[in-house]
Amino acid sequence: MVQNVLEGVFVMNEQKQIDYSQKGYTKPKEHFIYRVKFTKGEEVKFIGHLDIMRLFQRAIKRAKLPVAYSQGFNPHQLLSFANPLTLGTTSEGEYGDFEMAEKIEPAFVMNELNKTLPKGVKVLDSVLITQKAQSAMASIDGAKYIVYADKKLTKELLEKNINEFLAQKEIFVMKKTKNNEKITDIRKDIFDMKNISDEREIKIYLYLAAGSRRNLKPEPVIKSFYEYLGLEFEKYYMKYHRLDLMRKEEGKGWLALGEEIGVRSIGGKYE
Amino acid sequence: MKNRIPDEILLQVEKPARYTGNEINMVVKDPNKVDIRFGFCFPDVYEVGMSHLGLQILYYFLNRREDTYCERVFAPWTDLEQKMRENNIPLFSIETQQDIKDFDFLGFTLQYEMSYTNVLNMLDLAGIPLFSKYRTEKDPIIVCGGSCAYNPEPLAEFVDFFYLGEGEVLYDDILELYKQNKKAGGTKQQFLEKLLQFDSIYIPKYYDVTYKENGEIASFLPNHKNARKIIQKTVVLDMDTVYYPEKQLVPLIDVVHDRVTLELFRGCIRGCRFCQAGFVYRPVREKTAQTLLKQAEQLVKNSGHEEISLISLSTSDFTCFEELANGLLEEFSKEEVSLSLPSLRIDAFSLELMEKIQEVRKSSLTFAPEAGTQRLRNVINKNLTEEEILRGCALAFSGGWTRVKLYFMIGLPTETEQDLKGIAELSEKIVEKYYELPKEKRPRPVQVVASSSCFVPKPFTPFQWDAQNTFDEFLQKAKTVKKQITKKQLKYQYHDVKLSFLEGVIARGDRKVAKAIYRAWQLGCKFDGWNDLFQYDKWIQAFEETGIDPAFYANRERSYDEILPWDHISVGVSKQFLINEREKAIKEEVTPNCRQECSHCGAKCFGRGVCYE
Repeated sequence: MVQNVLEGVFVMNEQKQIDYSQKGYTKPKEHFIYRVKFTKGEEVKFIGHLDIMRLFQRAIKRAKLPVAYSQGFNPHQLLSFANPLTLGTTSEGEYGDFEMAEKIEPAFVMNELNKTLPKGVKVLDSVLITQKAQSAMASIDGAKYIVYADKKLTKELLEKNINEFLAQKEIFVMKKTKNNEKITDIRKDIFDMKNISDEREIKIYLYLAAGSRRNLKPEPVIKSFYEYLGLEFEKYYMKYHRLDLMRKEEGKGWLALGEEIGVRSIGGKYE
Repeated sequence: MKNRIPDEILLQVEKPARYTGNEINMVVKDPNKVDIRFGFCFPDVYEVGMSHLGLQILYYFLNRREDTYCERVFAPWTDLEQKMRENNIPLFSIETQQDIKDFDFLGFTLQYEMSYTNVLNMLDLAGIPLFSKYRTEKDPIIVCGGSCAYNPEPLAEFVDFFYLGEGEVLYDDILELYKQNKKAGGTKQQFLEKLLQFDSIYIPKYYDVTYKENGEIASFLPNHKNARKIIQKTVVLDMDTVYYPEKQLVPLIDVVHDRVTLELFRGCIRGCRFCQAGFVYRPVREKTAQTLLKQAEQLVKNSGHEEISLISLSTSDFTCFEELANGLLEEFSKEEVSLSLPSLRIDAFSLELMEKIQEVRKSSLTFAPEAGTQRLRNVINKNLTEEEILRGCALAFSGGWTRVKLYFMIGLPTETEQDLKGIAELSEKIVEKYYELPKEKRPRPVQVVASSSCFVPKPFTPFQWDAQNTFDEFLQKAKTVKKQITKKQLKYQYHDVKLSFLEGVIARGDRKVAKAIYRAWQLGCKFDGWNDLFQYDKWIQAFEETGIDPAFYANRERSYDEILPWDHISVGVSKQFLINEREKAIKEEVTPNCRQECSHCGAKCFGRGVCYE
């Protein structure tokens, strides 16, 4: 819902020049969109997507940022968020697009929010979008994760089998859809999978397809890997952490959602 | 802060964020650097407890003391409880996630009788003996307060002391006393004895009860030289200077009421004879509009909430209502903060106000005529006439509202068949009122929902002596109403009869009822207020096994000279006044409200409030 509104603004900015001098039109105020990258830490990993949205709405109010509201009888803040995270998963690469009614320093958005956000949610970056860009949600093509595996998976087992697992042409898993389950090949949606274990923990790096076109969550990959190794997969003992959300751009290749879309400073007084 | 419940369990329960805290404005202290650890226990699930204003006030009130850390404790939902028991995880607090059995105090707020099994269940989950007499020096002191504490007897055996009245008045003194006693090496026993110096503290073990053969109370006497005969509730005298938090806990998940709460006043001038709140919170004490506007500004600033709710027992009776409403609208409409106004009487001003604040979201309007005929409304002293109701509805309909909710009670004293039919008749007149509008002003068919709850006589009301209707009578009455309804625009609903019966037993229960509550808990009863979890059969089994006759408490009319289980408690309203009110009720005579004329209820004894306006 929020996202549609956002896209509407883009359409308005980039094409149709409406003659506002005509009767019946009031010129809409110019809005400024900030793409904000934030964390979802241990403390808030059980807070769902809608609740994270409300958490930001209230933080924006407390921070007194000049947020833009939708028109109409029940105005709401113009915010949109990318790719919901599964409950229980932590992240250091979440994104939201926040529309402001005033042009302010991107760092101001970040710092003022960080003064009032709860523990576990921290804004890492804020960019004023100046390039033609899709909404955060619409632009996603990939996501990077770290998976913390349980004790059954050893470093050796992982090292020995990971390439063989990836060498399979097809990897079939049962994917739940709204009404039923269907067998899907996920191999093409695994861009990368690496053993990054260290002394203390067994860790797997995953680079997976994400977004509205193709989307793969880390759990089915790990589950299928466990099954491949003949290990029992215990759903609730795995830990997942999202590193970043990525987009693919013509001629540029893979970029993070906040890369090369705008500026981190507008040269204002605010530091 | 590490969660007390491991991730693999949290991932398997509903809404794990109920248990992980970290809300905006949560108080963080080093538990090793305080003298007193206080667990504020709400005997229901997180979303309900977090919506309770008393929690928000007392949490910050207690935490404003450097020597005290007040933490929240809620009843875990059944899914988590099962996992906790399987894994031997005792009940913990939200803030530090530590075991509450190591706290100094556990304070339970008693908001409704149906939460009593949860009180027991929480103590048990914490690993604390349920009966006061079995607890030792190392166990926390269990204190209860809240509106149900005015009849403390059903929980008397489980609770160390009851605090009667408004928390802001005495808690500082109590905690100071506790600290001194602890520092001097005093025991819990000694502390409880010292508490006897306060007018408003009830310590059940310092009183002995004897019973007559017929089950009535024969005597109720102090067994300690310092225990007073009558325990007097305490109230805040000046609502403008009393502590009110500048911030609120802002939950990170959806809860029942999630908004800035402004408390306009305490008490109610109306004196509806069925309403316990209307008597136990007397006298009316208001805040000024100026104070409220200041509090609203701070709370909005510190919470980021998008809605302010005005809370009181009857918002329209607030003397500075227009000033406040206009002030709030002026201040906050620019900031996209909306107003919500429960408990409003419908008149031209309130409708105009609702137009302003709700814009087009014309949801539904709620009226509470409570009874179907003027005669019965006079009996219960509900000073709302049919003409006023119909005028209010007509105003609302012409303003564009098309949905009306009506609240009634069945089983009120003196009720006749005519009164029951009156429920249907009044509701249908409201439907007809809508069709008096010209056709072009009726955007859609009108929807009227009439719902009736079962009357439960409560302590400290003029009906405290009356018999509650039996199960069959209630069902019969609900059917009578239902049969009378012919219009399809009108829907009729009635509340669970079984639950009301049980509420009736406990509300006027004595110490003996504790046995049945204990047994019901043993049989697995908890969350009794939740329809899908309420186990009526288990309760009946508990009554049978403990030899408690529920009808003795619910369905028996008492005489004026019977010693009632709560007679040792005074809420300021005299027993003689309640008797007079009951006699007037039978004669269908109404009593004017406190602002029209003082009826000498006794609440003047507090020395402030509406009695001195």
